[in-house]
Amino acid sequence: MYYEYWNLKKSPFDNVPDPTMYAACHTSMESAIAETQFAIEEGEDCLSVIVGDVGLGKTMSIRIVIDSLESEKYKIALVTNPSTTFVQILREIIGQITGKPCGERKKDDLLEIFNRLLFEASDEGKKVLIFIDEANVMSPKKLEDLRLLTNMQEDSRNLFTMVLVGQMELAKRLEHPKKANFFQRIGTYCRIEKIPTVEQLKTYVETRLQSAGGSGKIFADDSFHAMWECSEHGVPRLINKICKLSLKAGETNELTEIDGDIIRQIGDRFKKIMRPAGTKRRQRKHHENETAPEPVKEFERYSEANLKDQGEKPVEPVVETEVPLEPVLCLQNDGDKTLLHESECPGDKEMSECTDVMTKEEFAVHDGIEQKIGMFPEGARFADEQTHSEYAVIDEEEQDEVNIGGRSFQLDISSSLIEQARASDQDQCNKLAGAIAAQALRKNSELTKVAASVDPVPIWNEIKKFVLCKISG
Amino acid sequence: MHKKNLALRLFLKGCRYDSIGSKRDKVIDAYRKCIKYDDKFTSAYVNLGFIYLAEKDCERAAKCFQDVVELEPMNPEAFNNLGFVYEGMKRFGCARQAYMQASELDPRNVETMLNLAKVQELEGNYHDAVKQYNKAIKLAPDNISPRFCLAVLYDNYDMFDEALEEYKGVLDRDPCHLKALLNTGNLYVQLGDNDQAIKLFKKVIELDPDNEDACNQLGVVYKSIENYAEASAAYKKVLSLNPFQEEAHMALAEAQYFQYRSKFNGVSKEEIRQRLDYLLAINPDNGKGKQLLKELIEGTEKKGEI
Repeated sequence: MYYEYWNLKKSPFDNVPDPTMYAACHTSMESAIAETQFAIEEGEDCLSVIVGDVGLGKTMSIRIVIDSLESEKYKIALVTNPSTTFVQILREIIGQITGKPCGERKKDDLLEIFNRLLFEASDEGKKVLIFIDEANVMSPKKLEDLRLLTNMQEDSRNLFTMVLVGQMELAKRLEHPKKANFFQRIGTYCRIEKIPTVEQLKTYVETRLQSAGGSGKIFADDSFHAMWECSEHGVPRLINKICKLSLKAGETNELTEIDGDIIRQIGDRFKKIMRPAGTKRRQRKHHENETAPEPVKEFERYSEANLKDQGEKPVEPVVETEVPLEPVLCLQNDGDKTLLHESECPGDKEMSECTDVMTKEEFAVHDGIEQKIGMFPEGARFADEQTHSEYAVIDEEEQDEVNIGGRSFQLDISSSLIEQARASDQDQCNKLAGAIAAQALRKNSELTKVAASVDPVPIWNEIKKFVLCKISG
Repeated sequence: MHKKNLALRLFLKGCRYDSIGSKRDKVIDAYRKCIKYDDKFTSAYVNLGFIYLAEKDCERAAKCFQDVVELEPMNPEAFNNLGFVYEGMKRFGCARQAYMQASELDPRNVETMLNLAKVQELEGNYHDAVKQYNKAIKLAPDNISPRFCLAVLYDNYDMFDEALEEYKGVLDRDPCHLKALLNTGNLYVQLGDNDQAIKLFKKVIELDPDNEDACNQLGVVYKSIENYAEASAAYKKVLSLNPFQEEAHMALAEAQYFQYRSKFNGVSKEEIRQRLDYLLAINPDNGKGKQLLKELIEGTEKKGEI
């Protein structure tokens, strides 16, 4: 194994829950774990909170806490998706505590059951623990409902502890003055943060190496700054990944030390790596029985056949497709054919038509992504901005049929837009024409299937040329 | 007895309606009437449950499967179905419990082990999920599913060697497993073995010429080893599959720019510029696009081309 090459006894940078690897390393995470454990085992208050940004180890912290607990002392419910209703959350909690699905639907009844369960557990010498991960998705109303649960706590006995874990939105909600009632009931409030400085990052790395049995120097001094840069300034998960890959690269290349250059190379590598493709959960088929009903036996979610449904297909090497820059479109302007390039123009009416006036909203939406108003070309004005009703109606003469690769479509540019473009400088005019062309192409995406190339750029360019012709009159 | 016969007829009627794609109301009505005449008709509950599930009415689906569990408390499949609905409702704790009950009833059921492992994975319970997958692999060593699921779990947790070993196990049994090939390729990219990665991505494309992910990743690797012509070819292939992908346009423009700068290949400045203009037309805020366009213009100005 790679770590043996570095005289280590175990892998020091695994990104898996391992309580032995957190001591004195990631201070805020270690505190969160210790304080939550204290709140559960010794604390008087029934609420404990852990907040932190994505990827800093919140879920791993609660996993470490859960794994550290003596199972005979606790009844544990872990809710990982609290975006459902409060009633659903309660049913999930009750279901997990009792080990049986809860059929009750009324909130009051559920609260009564929950209350009874707390006392039953207490009588058995057990404490109920409720962990709610991703609590940031809970609405203020749901948080308030959760607060009401804490009223069930007895003065003499701590019947349950609820641990809320979530991103920084949760912190904002809890710290809001309106949530003062809630906040007062929080026993421990921990914030998991990035490793704050390069110096602490160095301590973190070296401590983990020592925990894995390391004694010598492995990372050169200049490597820590590189690590800091490549790990989004101290995200532990990324630091671990970089260090692990560096140690592996060091073993492969028989290095004696890891320097900053290696770290940077490693950091560049996984920037564009996508998440591994997994299997999809599949539903099973209904039961169809023409003779006698039997319990359904087949369960096809992990059917081998489904996974193997990747039969041989004709072999086709990756081809280098040159992008043709030649014009692929001919124009019809008010019925007069203006050829920019020789091609057939059958004028297929099946193509979608653009008959509406271009509004700011339409202009802003490309492929479902709304752009900010500030991104529009300067000086561009839109039909929905006009005060005169005449601008809202498209002049028939402004409708043009554009033909690309034998397919035609209507391109409407309102006279007001043309006037605006004419009044602006060449650069703005170009931008406006480009945006109009991009929008027209998106609306007529089939054009990429009929033109000489599927690459939309040359097609867009031709539409843009047409728009510019139109503007220049 | 008469009622049971009537129930059977109604059940079969429901099945027929279902198979010919009749209106859901009719199918549901048939099954519900079946249950009305025979409230122990398990299959009617099961089918009704799946109809509700298909309509995303998880509450009703869960109720149906819960009824099945009560009718057949010794049937592991009933618990698997119930767990599946809870999983769909993202009530992972209850799903886990249902799967555990299924597992108690049939401890050697690989399907149940996989279900349980998946839920444990979703709950962030890495160690138990690994144990479950390994148990399934031990029981069914030639079954690809547990091995592949375990490989993906390892991969997600950056356990590179372990993931590679499991993917290898999958590919030994099915050399054409596209996802295993693709994921192994990505692992090799991270481990810096670009030749292996290229080989695997090419194999994916050979098996599935329309695999956008493989083409994209091939482009990434070629670009990282400065083979810009091949990178451009890979990104062009991506665009032939999905012409409006902004990221692929940007990646192609970058690859072509480096290709243009290297002078080894005949890519024209105008081609790159057009692509960047297009990119900025569809997203005027594309910072990388703006920067590259600036570099392209300034670079050519220095060369005296403008």
